Amino acid sequence: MIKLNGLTKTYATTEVETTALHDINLDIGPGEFVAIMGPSGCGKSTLLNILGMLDSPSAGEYWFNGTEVARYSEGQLAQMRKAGIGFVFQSFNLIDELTVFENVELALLYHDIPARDRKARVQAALERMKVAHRAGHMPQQLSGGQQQRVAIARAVVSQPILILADEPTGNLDSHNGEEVMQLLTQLNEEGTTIIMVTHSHSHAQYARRVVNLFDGRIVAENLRAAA
Amino acid sequence: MLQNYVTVALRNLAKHKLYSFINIAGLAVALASALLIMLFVRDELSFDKQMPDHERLYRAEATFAPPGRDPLRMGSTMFPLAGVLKSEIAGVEDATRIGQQSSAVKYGDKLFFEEVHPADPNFFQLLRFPLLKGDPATVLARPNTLVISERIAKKYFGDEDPVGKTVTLDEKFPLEVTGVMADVPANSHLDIDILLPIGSDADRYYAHGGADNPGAQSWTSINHNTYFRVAPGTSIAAVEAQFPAMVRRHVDPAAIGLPTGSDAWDLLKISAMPYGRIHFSPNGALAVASRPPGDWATVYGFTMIAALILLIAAINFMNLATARATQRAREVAMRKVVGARRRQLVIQFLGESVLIALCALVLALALVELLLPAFASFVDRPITLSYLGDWDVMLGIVLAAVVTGLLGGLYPALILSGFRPATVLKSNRSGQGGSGGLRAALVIVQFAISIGLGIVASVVYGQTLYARSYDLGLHKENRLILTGIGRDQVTPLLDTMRTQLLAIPGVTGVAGSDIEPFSGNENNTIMRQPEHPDEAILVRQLVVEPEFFDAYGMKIVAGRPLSRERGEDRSPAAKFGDDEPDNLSIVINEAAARRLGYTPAEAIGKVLREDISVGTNEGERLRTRVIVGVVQDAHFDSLRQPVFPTRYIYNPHFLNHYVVATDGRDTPAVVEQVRQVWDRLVPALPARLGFVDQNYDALYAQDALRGQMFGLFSGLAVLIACLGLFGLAAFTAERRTKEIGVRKVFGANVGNIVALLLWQFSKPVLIANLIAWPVAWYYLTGWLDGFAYRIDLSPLYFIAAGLGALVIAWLTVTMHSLRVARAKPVLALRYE
Repeated sequence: MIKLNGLTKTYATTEVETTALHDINLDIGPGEFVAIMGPSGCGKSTLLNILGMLDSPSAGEYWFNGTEVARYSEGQLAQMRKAGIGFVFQSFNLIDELTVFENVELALLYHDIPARDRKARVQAALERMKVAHRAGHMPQQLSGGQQQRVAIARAVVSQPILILADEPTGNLDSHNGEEVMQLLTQLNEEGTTIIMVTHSHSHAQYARRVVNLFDGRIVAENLRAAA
Repeated sequence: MLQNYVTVALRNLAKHKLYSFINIAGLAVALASALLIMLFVRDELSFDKQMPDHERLYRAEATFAPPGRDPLRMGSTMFPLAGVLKSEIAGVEDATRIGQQSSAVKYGDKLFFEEVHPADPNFFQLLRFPLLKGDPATVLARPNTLVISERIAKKYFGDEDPVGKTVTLDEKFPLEVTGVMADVPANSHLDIDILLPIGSDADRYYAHGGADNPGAQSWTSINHNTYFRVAPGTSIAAVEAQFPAMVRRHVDPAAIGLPTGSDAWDLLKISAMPYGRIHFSPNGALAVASRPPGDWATVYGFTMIAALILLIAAINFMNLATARATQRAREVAMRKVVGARRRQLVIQFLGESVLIALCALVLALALVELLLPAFASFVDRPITLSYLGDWDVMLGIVLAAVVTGLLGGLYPALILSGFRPATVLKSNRSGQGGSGGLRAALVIVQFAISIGLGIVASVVYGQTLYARSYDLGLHKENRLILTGIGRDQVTPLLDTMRTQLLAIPGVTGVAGSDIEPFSGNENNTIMRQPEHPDEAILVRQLVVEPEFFDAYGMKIVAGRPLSRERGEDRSPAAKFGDDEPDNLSIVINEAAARRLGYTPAEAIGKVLREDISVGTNEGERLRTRVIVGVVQDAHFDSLRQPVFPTRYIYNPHFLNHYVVATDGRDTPAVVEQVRQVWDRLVPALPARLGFVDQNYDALYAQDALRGQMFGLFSGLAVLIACLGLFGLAAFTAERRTKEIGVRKVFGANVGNIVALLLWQFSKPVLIANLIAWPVAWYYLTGWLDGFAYRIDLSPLYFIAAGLGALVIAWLTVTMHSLRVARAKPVLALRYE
């Protein structure tokens, strides 16, 4: 489903050029659950952003479902994103001014879905994440774990084929962290491809494959048996 | 400590250039506008306050309320009033009069037409305009003397001493200069340069016929201003209380055509206007020897605009400061952590805000220095500013700046200083939810003001255009006015002059009349229908030559015009009060026909009675008039007034002006040849030429000026409001970066995001419309009601102003919106 060939990302300032990703080659098939690990600054988030089409590579190829998207414009990327990718962030990135329901609904707003279907799907997603009783609250009124469940509801409501999670448990206590991991595992078992960046070795255990990054290069890939 | 505050303040200014520019430039423009308006208003309010003892001085004013028309308010009064005030009214110490006439003034080879003013000998004792030469008590004591202003002295005498020199008025009256007065200040309602004692040979009003002049006794002939001084400690109310009885003693209602037994006080009211308020008298427009009056509506209106502009700038200040609070939150928190008390923080932020306001003030003063000459010539007033001399205005503007600074700084100072350091440092957020609502409310206020001003300005402009292009019923373009044809040395030459004028290529018609259109003068008479002898109908009267209607392009709608060939069409009266035969022909206008209850066709051949003794204090002398023609209605006044019922009569002895109609092809050449004809025939007098359309435009000069000033300052208000919106949009775009990032991650495209932001800024503008529309509608309905002929208050003005504001708001925020919307979402999320 995803194929990266010689993917490179450099950031240029006026004085120095930093290479964040260096000649990355990676294949990820449908239904996989991949964890990306590595120390701070190794390029994990950059890789995830490019995978999520939030950023474009400086060189190399990015094949997504048989399409080369590395040179796509922002507008084309938005179309691709909309069609197939859901996001979960470490800091949740819920919009403070919107209610829980509206935050989840946001992910469907820019799709052509009739209002009634949209409401139904949002309701279903909230129930599934066990936050339906909080639908009318503002994000700040929720605990961290609840906020992340809302964020996951937002990621899944558009029924993406790929979910990208950037340290989804980074701001959560261990109990809530476990809960979020179980939700992600469940989604993976239902067929959604999941790519997750994490610092936590224990949470990386949930993934069936771990990619280790160091200084912008892949240094190790471990396949593990399904848990 | 202070150094630290200043350092931080200056670095903040330098770092946030856009924000600083908006705050300082916006406030500077607002302060400069306010200062200019304050100078204008102060100039208006300063009128006549320089007159010594003005607290005891009054101008008597007359209001005529003839049945069947709006009251006629006049700042001038009847000739006999001054004497009556002195002899009959308790509390009046002294009274004096001043009149006005145009005279040819000659000294050596210098010959010009000037406005000269017959005044009572005690004039300078009551109105103590400073005399540079001559004694106020005696300077006008002898008839046939002259007091001139410095300006006139320089014009005629150069460096010579004028006192003792002899000047000739109107070619035959020698007058000796006995005094020189300082030029009357520009903020005096009186505009006088040349005075001579009433009763001098050259005083046309009084001297022709001496004490027998009917005008000397008439209470309905209004030609002089009357000023009086009350004794110290006199209540003016007690003086005014004696006026009704005075009027009833001297005015016989029957003698002026009113039914016997009616109350003279109902027809004529005399009132006392305090000298210091004469400039704002509602009677001011009809007064001799005077500058155009001001009006309170203008003073209040512009004061209001100045306040609104300052308010808009203060709101910018406040909005941008609260908006930026987030960015300063960390600084505040750190200061608190290291021990700052809340009071210190409040002082720091207020101080910073006041500092910015004072920067703006310096800039504003520079702007005013730059613009003042242009502004002064624009409002046609000698407005100047001296920092020390005008300490009151300066104090006002410094206060305005400081208060704006304090107001602008107050809210952010209190809010910022109230942040809990721990929360701020931990979450890097400042809990800005609440002030967002306040900001939106303030933006609504700004736009409501801007939209309201925009509507008012466009309607005022619309009405001015309408008045300019209104079909007045007469041609005013290419109509030259030659004044002075009624003078003794000119009348015998009129036939020759007519022939020679008509021979000029391009001249299409020549006709005389007693009054020229749009001059502000009017004569009225009372007519009765034989079938309703008790009903006095007040009618405007014009004396014309038969060619008058042709020359002004006025159509005869029924009957025939007057004719030179028919004896019954020409009045033989050679002077005011002379007898006339029965059955003289008259032409009336359509308004008169309506007033009489006839269609134009029905009116032809109808007989009316006119009292030809009106104004003479003699008994009634009724003569019949026959209507031979009805002419279309034509406006001879400003459109504030309706067309009055008017009757036209032909009398060759009462003509003052020729109108010379031209084809407009080469007006300068025609003017030159008209001048040559006059100079050939009347070499002793300079030719006086004017244009009808210029007289008409002069009627609207004040309106046009106010309209332009209104438009200018409204435009500035909108500009400043937009500056604020621009800053706020920049801030909002920044504040919503994360939200926009999230939205983009979940599929929003550039269009979606731009629409989102535009809608956010459209809402306050739309709500502002709801507030501005009714207020503007209410104000404009009242304003337009002052015009007899006016535009409708079309919804288009409102919609256009609202749409205009919306479009301006969009243009203002689109740039920011596009920038934010186009950014890659990862940039937005990275800073989280």
